[in-house]
Amino acid sequence: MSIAEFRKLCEEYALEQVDSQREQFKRLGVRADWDNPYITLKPEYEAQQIKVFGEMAKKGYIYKGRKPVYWSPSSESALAEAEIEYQDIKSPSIYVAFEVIDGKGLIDEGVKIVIWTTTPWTIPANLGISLNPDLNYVVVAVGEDKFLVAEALLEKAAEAIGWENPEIVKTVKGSELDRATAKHPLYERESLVMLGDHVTTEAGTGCVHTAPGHGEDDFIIGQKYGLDVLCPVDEKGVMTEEAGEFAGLFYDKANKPITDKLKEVGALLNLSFFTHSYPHDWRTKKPTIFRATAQWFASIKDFRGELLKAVEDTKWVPAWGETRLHNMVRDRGDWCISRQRAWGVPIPVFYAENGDPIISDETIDHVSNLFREHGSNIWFEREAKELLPEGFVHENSPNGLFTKETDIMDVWFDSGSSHQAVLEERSDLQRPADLYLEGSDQYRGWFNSSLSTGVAVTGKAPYKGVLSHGFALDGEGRKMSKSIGNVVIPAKVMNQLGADILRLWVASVDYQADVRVSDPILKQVADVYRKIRNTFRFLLGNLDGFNPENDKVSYEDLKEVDQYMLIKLNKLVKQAKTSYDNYEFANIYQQINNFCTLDLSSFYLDYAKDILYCETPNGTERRGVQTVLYETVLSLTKLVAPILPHTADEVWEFIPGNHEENVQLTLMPEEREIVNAMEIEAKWNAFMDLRNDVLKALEFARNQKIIGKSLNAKITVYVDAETKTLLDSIQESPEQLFIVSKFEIGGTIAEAPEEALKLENIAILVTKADGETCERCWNVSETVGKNEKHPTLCTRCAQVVEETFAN
Amino acid sequence: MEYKDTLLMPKTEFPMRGNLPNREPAIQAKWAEEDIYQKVQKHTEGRPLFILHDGPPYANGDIHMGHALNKVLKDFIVRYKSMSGFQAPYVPGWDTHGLPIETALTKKG
Repeated sequence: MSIAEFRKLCEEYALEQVDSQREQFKRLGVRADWDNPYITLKPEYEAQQIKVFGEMAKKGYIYKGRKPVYWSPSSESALAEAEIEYQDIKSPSIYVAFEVIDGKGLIDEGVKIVIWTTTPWTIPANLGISLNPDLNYVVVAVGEDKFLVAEALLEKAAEAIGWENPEIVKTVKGSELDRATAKHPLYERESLVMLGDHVTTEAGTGCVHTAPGHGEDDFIIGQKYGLDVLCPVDEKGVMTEEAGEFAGLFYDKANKPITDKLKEVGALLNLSFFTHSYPHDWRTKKPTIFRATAQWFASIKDFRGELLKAVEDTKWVPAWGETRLHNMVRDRGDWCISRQRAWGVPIPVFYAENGDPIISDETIDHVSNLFREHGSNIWFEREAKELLPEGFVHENSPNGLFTKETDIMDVWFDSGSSHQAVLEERSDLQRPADLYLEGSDQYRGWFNSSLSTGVAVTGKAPYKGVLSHGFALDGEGRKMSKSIGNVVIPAKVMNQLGADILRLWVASVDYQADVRVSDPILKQVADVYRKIRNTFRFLLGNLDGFNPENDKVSYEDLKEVDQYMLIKLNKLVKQAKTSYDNYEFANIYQQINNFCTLDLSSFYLDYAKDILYCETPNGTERRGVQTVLYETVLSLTKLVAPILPHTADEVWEFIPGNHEENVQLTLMPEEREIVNAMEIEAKWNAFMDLRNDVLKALEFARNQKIIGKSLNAKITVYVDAETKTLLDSIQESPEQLFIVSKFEIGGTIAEAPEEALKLENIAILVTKADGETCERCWNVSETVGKNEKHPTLCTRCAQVVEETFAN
Repeated sequence: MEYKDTLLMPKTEFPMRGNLPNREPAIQAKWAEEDIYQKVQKHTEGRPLFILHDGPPYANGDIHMGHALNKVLKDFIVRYKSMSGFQAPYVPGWDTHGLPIETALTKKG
């Protein structure tokens, strides 16, 4: 199969996956332009990505360098990490001495720095020795010689090398030896002492043999210290001329002669063999090596200052994101953007006959246009010449011959170009974005790659703000894994509980840290959902027959308790909107939950039932309560709409009166200016405290079997002057507010009888209410039996029935 | 006269039980039918833009809770913004190149 054919299959497969994931995302209720998404393999995307590369090249940020990658000598190709498998092999283990040349005034010349390695064949590539800056290092005397090792590893090293009674003559901090030098044991050159956190005390000597051409950490620290990427091993695994006398040997066969030579010059301190797990090529099953190969890089150091400035100019939520990205940008080496793979966007570079790369506005524009028209597969379907503008000439190709690059770009370059390929490309969007929002793994991923290309191309970050969330863990805070069996699958949650429950869970968690999810946690959330849903149902049920156009009661004409509820609602609106603005969804979850349970369910709706069910249907009192319910259901539906879009849509259709056809087309409720808000709130908050006392007394009386349900009760309170003033000022029926049948002020606290419950500012006596139970409203009243026509009703009910239902 | 008939008890067709696993797909079908995304865009046209730019998930495999968390949080914000004086277009994306897809295909044979 040709590369182009293989890529066609990759494309088909990717688009199938897009379709499948799209359906799953839709099932979550996510509202998006699902019919016109952006897909990184689309021609218009690739065309813009080529331009990003071209723009960076134009600024001189793109260069060809070398970097070690997993290399398989048996298949003569680079391997990805996914193509590596581990098998046990037997390796040599050697301790080698490097004599100090410049000890920074702390270590004498001739002291031997001891390194340990299991790959003697990389000794010819050694350019340095890495120490940990925070570790203590000791100079020990052994006979005539002095050696340097990490203090924590002295015992192990002494045992391995066979030192008897090494005597510590000096202790220094790793950081004090920065840029000291030592002599390479085999060649006339120096090895540089460098400092890196990758050096640990797990094994070896704490002095790490560093060959930038043969190891990832070695490469990174080498870049930092400006070392070359020396790699005296060719693609077949054979040592090159750069390895001197070992040239021509297969790397594995070079171990012995190199070790012998080290012994001959007196640098070998110990040789042994051991078996360990080692990376192998998954296809050939042969060992792999780390080997520096030609790669394309985006220089970061050239615009690191601009990057740091852009980090500073961005709003990071949570705030630690700024430090995280700042440190990453500060410490990172150049970005290796090439991959020796097939499925990706080709690096749009041509080579002239002398091997010089060609990248110009002309070639970039041409390739970009070709990709926009045909997609990037054309790069693999055509010869270099056919990918160049017609009649293209170049001074380094006198014969008009050209070749093309076969590497593709790192996928982070793909997604990292989206600010151009999507935000700039599409007319419905704009750059910079207001917000990027991803998991916290994306600081090193997309936030980072997008920033790099954004700053490189435009000088600015592609985003104004960045918000990150944590990972989803199980109920105990463990990683989800198939083997533990603790994986919560979204599709299953939606099939069993519904998307709105899953969404309410999202709203309930402190998402900026790692979050927990399990069946019991979801069940709890489902209980909260049920409460919210019941609240909606109660509100809607009691708006039956309410026509807001005619029946609404103006604020001034409402009873204070109704005004109080509207003030509470107004507060909820204000708090919830602030929480939305600050992306604090768990607060909204709490605020809405509290409002539904504390303000509505346990107080206002309970109070309102008698009025709603029993009072004159069209009376101001009942219409007043309905006005509150109507305002509440309108606001509450809008407030929950972003979180529970399905439920909000469903509720919306049942709200009476004329309103926007869909809640999604409305605006969030406006906060209202309420003139008497402070005064009403203070008064009724005080009343609520009083009410809690009364509820306590009722509860106590129930336990004492003095009353059954609270409607059987008569409450007599004994109060101080302040409380009396409060109670006297309340115009609402205290019986309705307390949900009892009779309420009286009996006198001062001092006058309270023995059996009254005595609390701080009040004493409360609960007795059975006198009179009969009204057949209609179930209040106990002495007025039952007074009306001849309705002998089983209380006066209030008799009157309502007479007025409204006589016929 | 039956006095209980003179009580104005709550009356609504709004169901007590959410029955979301069955009801939601019907609501979503209605959204698709009316093209709610475009309808909201049209309705909010001319307002200042709020752009939440979607980071593209990798197009391989079923979505997990991490994906769900991510997309739902984004949806909260986009929906809220479009109800708060902004036009908030939301264009979802996918990352479609790279080794996992090559590997998946190689494994498929």
